[in-house]
Amino acid sequence: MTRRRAGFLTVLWLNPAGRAGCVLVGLVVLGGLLAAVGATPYNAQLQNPLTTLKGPSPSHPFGTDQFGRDLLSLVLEGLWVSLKIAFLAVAIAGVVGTLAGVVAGYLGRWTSAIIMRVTDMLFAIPAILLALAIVTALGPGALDSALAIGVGYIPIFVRVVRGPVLSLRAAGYVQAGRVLGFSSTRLLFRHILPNVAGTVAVQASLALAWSVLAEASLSFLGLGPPPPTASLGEMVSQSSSLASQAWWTLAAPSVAIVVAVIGFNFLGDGLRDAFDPRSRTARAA
Amino acid sequence: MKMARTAALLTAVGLAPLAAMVTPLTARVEPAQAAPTMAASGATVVVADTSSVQKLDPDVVTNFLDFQALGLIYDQLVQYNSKLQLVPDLATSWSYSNGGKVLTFQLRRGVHFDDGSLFTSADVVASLQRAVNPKTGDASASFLANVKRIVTTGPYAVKFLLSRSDTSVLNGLTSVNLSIMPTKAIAAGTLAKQPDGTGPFEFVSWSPGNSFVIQANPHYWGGRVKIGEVKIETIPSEQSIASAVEAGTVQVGLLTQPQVADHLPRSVTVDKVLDLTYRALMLQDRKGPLANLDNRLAIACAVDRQQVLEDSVFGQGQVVGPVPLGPFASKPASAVCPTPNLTSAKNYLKQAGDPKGFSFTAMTSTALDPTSSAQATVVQANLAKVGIKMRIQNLAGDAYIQDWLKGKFQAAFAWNGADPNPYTMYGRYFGTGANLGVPAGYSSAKLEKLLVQGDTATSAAAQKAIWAQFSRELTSRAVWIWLFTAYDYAAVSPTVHGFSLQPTNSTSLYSLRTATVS
Repeated sequence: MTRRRAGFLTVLWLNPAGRAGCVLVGLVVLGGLLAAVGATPYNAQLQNPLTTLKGPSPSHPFGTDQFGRDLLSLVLEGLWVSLKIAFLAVAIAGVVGTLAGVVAGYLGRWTSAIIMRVTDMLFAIPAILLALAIVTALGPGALDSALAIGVGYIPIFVRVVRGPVLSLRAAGYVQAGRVLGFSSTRLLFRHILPNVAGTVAVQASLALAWSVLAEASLSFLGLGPPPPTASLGEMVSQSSSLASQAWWTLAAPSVAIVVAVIGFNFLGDGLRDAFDPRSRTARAA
Repeated sequence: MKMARTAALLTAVGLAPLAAMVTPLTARVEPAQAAPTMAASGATVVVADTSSVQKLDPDVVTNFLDFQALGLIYDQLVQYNSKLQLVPDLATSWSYSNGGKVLTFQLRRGVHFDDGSLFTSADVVASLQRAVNPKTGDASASFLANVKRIVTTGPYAVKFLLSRSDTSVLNGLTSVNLSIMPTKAIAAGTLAKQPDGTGPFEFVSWSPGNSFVIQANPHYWGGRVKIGEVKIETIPSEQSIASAVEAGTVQVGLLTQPQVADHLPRSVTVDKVLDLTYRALMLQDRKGPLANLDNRLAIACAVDRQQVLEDSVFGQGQVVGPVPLGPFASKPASAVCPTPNLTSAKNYLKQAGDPKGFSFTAMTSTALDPTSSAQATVVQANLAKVGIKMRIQNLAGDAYIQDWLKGKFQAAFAWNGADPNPYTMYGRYFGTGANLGVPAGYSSAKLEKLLVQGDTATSAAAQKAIWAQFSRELTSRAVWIWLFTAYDYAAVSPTVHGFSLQPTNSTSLYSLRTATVS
């Protein structure tokens, strides 16, 4: 029996977790993009004293908050802000962490020792605590939140990337490249880095889930982007005292956070399977 | 006075026998008697608030919870009752003489401080001298601005020699900032770490940001205190406070949000009182865009105070001007724009040369006032309609207080203490030598003059006219933007009896003196 390899996207879609992740993340990204292009049902910041704390209805599917603002519009804006911060945070963590991991794994010796000890130091502090400390020092804001969250997740990328690079540098094709006189830069970026891309992508997807959660946590504590920037965590914080009389004010942002976090986690699981050659071969057979 | 000070100094440096020789010339101190001791057994009452006790020195506190907590340890000369009438505290009676320029107090006898020492007139002199000493930084020193000297006329009598007739000094003396402390502790400088008063409770422990514990004072002059211990705990969310009261782990929960108070189960008693305190957007008028009167007036006209009231406390209160309640209440609340007027706001911006608006930052602290975030959200949206961009900066409670005291803000959503007497309320912000002039952010000779006129006016009609003019001056210059006064709430466990809130927020916990626990 001849085994052929299925396409990456096919494997991702055939995987239940991957499919669920694609759908949920697709919904979240679509919602965020609607807010980005100003296609929300209402101006999210428009306060209306006549519509305060109205329950879900055809005109306001998610209801309204204590200021009479449309919660669906606010949630979409909040999603867009969360996604921007999360993607920026993961970009910072991914780029810095991957480069540091590749360098540590490839060069080894004292370079690796220094990078890994710094990583250990960062690992010793819980990511959310580190983010809290950084954002307290920098002040609340979207960029500051992204930086604070991103720094906290750098060590994970370093660890995840360094391991595979350690084994890859001993691989035959890398040794052959070295014998042929390829520069370290060429070996790193043309031959080693593409082989850890899958690992990085899976990690990035999981980090996106954590980043959405971290951004919501910071906002919940009043350390996220200040109003009028919509923020899911801040909405949860504001509505916690209204839960018994206007449950929708708490439910709408909370469900949005849960959907985003579960979506990115499922997507990460799906990506892990899709990047796994054995899994792809098995599926095709 | 001078001799009493000398005695205090000598005692402080360890020359007590010499001090005893000096003291009788001014205040005959009776030999310290063993204080009558009453059993201090009783249940613990846990009180929860979103804020935490920030400081232990009563002279320097500005946080409501600090007033409430230290108010259970310290007594003042006079106090307000629940009807806001002045009643005796450590002073049993008082009288004016010499055309209102001499105020004589007769003091309570047989009162002991927590350290066992006997309360005398020397302690009054030492405490109030400490309060007016600029080095102390007393937040209410201005209440004594017209007191030239305080002299003892016996161990249980003191005379205040006033620079002019001043009735408001009595109102001022109700403040915890003017508590009576033992001379010995003042000299030793221990009050910032070890509170020592004559009140119904005595200090046990303080864990900053977490808890403050006091126990019944077995020597309390007011009779046996039936609650054995009061533990004031910090719980950052009012919803959590309500849940804790419901679960029975907290017996008294202090709340500001009606949406929380209104949804407590029937088993929990909810006490509420329309508070004299008021919410205002305080402006620093000395620099930046807010130094321009027209910009400030634009803010005053753009803000919808009724909407702020509705959205932040669900209408549970009333829109007020500088003098919130009582016979001198400001009517209308604002002289320039009693109701929002966006056209006027835009015209003021044009006159200011900022037709497209301007930007400024307003600080809030949801730890100190959980409703401040909602207030800021509404005001931000109101101002955006005329192009004014207000950035919101939410600070932790202690950071907010530090910045507020130093005037390190452009605008601040503040929850300020109030008093039935307008002079007592505003003398310390806008009076001559006002000790809170820095956070007030504004001063003018006209305001200073009106404050003196209001304080010295003898007829009710004249006082009313002057305080109305004072309110107009404050609002027509948009010195601050006064917003509303609201109800205070307490969720009280069914096991606590006799607890009721007081209309001056700083005395909210006073009824714990007489409350019981079943």
